[in-house]
Amino acid sequence: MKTAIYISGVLLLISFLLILQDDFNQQWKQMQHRFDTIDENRFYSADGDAHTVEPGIKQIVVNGLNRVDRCPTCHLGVLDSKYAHAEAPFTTHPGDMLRIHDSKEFGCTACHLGQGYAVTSETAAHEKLEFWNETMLPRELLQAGCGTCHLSEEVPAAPQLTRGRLLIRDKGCNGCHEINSFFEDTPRGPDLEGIGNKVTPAWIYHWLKNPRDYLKNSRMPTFRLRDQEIVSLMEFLMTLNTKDSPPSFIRELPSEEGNEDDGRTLVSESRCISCHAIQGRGGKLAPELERVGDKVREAWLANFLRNVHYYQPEKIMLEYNFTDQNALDIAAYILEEFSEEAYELPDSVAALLPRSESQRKDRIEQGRKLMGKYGCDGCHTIGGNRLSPKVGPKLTNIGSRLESTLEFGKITDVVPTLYNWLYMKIKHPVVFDSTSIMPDFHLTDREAFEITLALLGNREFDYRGEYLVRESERSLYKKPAGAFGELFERYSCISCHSIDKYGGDISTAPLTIEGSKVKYEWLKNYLLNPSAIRPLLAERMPRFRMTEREAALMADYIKKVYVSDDIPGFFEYELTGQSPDVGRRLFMELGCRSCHIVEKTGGYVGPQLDDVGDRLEAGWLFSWLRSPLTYKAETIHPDYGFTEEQAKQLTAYLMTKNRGAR
Amino acid sequence: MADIAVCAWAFLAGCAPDSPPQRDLVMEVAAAMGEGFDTPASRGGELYSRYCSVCHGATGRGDGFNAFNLNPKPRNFSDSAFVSHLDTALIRETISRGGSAVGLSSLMPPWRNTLTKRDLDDLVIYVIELSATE
Repeated sequence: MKTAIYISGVLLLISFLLILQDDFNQQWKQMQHRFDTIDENRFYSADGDAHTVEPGIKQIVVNGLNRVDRCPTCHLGVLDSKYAHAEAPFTTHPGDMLRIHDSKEFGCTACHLGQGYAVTSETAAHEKLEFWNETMLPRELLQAGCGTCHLSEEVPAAPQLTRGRLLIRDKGCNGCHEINSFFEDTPRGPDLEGIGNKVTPAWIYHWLKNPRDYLKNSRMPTFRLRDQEIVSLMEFLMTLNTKDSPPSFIRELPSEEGNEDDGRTLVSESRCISCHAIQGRGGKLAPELERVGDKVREAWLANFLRNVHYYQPEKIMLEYNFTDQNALDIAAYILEEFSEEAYELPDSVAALLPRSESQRKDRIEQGRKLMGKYGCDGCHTIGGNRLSPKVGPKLTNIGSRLESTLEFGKITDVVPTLYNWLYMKIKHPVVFDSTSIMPDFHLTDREAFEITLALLGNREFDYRGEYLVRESERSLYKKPAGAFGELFERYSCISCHSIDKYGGDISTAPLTIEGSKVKYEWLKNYLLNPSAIRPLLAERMPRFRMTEREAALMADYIKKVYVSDDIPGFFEYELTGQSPDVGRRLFMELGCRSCHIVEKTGGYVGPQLDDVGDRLEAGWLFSWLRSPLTYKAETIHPDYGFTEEQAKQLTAYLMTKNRGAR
Repeated sequence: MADIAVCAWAFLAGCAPDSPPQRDLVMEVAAAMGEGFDTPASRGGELYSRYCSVCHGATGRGDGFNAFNLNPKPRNFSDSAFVSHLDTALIRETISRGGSAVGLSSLMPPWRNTLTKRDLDDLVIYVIELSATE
């Protein structure tokens, strides 16, 4: 008995000593010892007992994020720029992110993930850790971390995340999947009501079979449809033909009535190329026109051009105020010029066409069901309605999905992480399951990577509201109201111009403060008859054929509403006593003519300035010269750092460049 | 008997069948994108094509589309013999404060209010690289 007590006493003592030794040798204590001896700290450790760091666990408690992060226990130099070149894990935090996100307020794991309580490298979840779902984000995917709190599409300091989120919107992922609410839920494709009048069945067949056969860069993904299914969809789509009485109806006319030469002139004058690419050149807002003649019916096209917003309720394209004859001329020109070979149904498909009325009805019903099955209505509404709920699984908070719940199918040669799973699924939708209905979006590696990163950033969180960033500058935009609002919509201004960062980027002139920039008379005339300000750009303002009254109304509104408090009005009075000659000398000395034409000579990089006094307000010119980057972050106009006096001298000179003076 | 021996060996070896090496696809893509991406020279290249190429040309030959209009002509950076004799501090100064600040033509504008210090460093690296690739 006694022997047993002695033995257990000795064993107890041994285990006590072992525990003591274990505690003494803890990883973080060794780290803190090592920190004293690194190059940057040798001076302190040389005298033996001086420590650069108070021994002990160091933690950051962040109540608003429900986090306690002990990472600085080992990452000892992270906040001190002295350790920029120290060895890991003692290095300074790279970049300047901690200047925007103070570590005391944000801690570490809210951005990086991992297990904040841990004080060993393994349990901190630097790498995958069993039963812990927040593995630290690898450096390559770090921007996903920003996504937890930044709940808007654009996150300026996280370009990869922003690109990923914009891709999610652009590809219309949220048409089929529920995704976190900040994604705009607007259908990505055109409304299909009226498609039966617009195109031929043969075109629909080829389009559904492979959209890229018709449009090289089609946004529509490729579905894996059987011919039988396509025929059913085709029969259903051809029934969507009720959109046949536009307000200004042109009856179906033979093509001889349109004059192709006049059509060509109208197409060039209307600057279609600003939005539609033709032979690889031109804008990307609207579909390429390369083969549009093989797609649309001539009568439909003429009616469309005459009644754009009747056929296109989204109002992306503007109303051109074409006459019937104009529309017929353009339609005749487009059908002749933009076609290669008429689409025809292959014999094997023609054999599948319904042979009786009852068969046709069955096919139509089947087609309607297929629209729902494949989620077509995620992108295409019909008469403004969706036929069925979203068909894809929910992706809300997908970044928090447990890796153990992922199905990798037969794939065993890939590291089974959530990010690899997402990437593979996005890149090759059938990779895990050959019966998947998700279509192929033909994404590049980089696009799939960025979408993966953006999805990882949609995480569950229990953070306090003050940590969440919902607003982006885009959300400041308000659609203009009243008579101007109607014209603004009629001419689809927002498709090309931006206001408060919302809208298109085809025009280099945002409208946000346009009223402070240009003069009323010039603006009115420009709306009536736009001239090229930057001759190098292919994208130009189209000729709207608007009335004088409309132009006056628009110019008046823009002059009064789209203004900046920072740009002085009536600045001409400030220029009294300035000699234009002094400004002229400065202008010539600085070599402004290398980019601008003045007095009939100069370069084409910037706008010509011989009538700038008619076009621009003196206050704008002065403000622009003082600080071009304030008004246009992407400008290549150099900031010469002019003094107030110099800017006034130059403005005084430039204001003499007007028609009155010539 | 042999089967039993194999089994026993396998048991001793941990019974682990050889699993194929696993690929980390996303990290591979990131690495491929990272090559030549976000290096000083690549950042400099982006800045160059934005601000400089209009006069100095896409490949630095001084043949940008606006060059015809300039006298003196923009510097030709593809002339490695010339560029290699230049002091990097002088290149930096010319970009930063413009041609007139270093006794050259004022047609070269100053970029110090547009570009950050890091931008300037990256641009200098790129300009030197331009001459080396010729």
